[in-house]
Amino acid sequence: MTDRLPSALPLAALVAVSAALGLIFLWAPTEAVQGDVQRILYVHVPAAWLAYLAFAVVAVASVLVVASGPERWDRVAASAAEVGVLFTTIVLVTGSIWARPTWGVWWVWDARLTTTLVLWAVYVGYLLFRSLTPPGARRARVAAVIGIIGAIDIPIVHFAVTWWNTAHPEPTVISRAGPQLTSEMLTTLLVSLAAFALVFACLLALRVAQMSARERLDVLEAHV
Amino acid sequence: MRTLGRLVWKEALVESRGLERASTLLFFGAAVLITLQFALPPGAEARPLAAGGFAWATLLLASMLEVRRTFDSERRDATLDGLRAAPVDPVLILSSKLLASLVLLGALAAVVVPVTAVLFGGDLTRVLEAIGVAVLGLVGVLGWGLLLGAMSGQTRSGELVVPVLLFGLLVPQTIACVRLLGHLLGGAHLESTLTGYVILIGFDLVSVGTSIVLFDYALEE
Repeated sequence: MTDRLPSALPLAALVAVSAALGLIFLWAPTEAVQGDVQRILYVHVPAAWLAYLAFAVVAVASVLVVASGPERWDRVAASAAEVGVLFTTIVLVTGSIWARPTWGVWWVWDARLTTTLVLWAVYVGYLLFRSLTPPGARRARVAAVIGIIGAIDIPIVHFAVTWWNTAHPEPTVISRAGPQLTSEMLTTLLVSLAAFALVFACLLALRVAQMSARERLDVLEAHV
Repeated sequence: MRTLGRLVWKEALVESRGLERASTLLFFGAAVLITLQFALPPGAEARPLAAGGFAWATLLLASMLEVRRTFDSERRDATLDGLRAAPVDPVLILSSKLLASLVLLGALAAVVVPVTAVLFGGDLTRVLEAIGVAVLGLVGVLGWGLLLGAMSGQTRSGELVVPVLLFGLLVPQTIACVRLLGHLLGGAHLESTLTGYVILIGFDLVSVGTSIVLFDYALEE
């Protein structure tokens, strides 16, 4: 992972987000049953996938901190956790906005919603720990352990809450019968996913570069 | 095995001098239970159904105290450094702490579960099985709890962070325990008790296993 933000990345993200917004509001057809509120899923679904990706990055970077030391990978883990929490917040908020007209309530204690909320809470705790602990190898080591435990816990949480209750709609894109969307909807979703992926890469690279610069400044200040 | 026995004996000796942890846990458990019982009016039909949830909430809150305090005396007297410097497998240090805390919290469960059943009009015929469920749940809590408690003692934010992290991580144990205890004490409907036990035991194995693997690394300076 480079510590410099490639200059083309923000531009590509801006173009992709503009294209996605155009497709969502001007091109994608209105869903027959749910109406216009269904358009929020073009934001909700990519945000959910990329939140999972972000937490997978946290897990892998945490394992690398344990295996090869905190340099660099601790910054990647911390940055990915921040981006993951941001995207999970988007998932929870957009899901709630979609649920109100569709289910008649803002929130239900359904398996996937509960798992997502727990995921959010665990990584907010991870970030809280980082923000309250002085930087250094000690913080990196403990954060890596929390990152690994968090990654192990999520499948168990999902299994437990599925046993408990579920009301979330079945997946419509990745399902055994193939995508259950029209071609216009699927194209819009894929463009939106690409836009979110570029925003994700942009935020991650930017945050890693910022943390790297902060650490170099701290070293310089210590020598002045 | 002999080393583990000596470490557990050390824990028992330290605790027996003042019964500090046991007495605090008991009074804390009683205070939580008394507070929770005000949530439902006397004679409400939901009281037996809620008994399992209230019993688990009491034990979970008490275990938060325990995981923080288990390593406190070691740090205060700098004996943890001595233990780690001694030719003792770190796994045994963690195991002895886990066993000592489990005995304390298990004893608390043996009091809290039947008392909750009585206070909330629950069923006492399956109270032994309910205590077993609570103890199984506490094993998983102590696995990750002691690991985080040991690590957090080295940071000033520990007291705040451990409960914040643990409550999220322990959701599977909470769901399984609340459902099983609700079934055993209050007769709440449950499709499959086997799935609940699979979640409980599976979580215990994962929690204790990862703590054993990561304990020594987490305490390195």
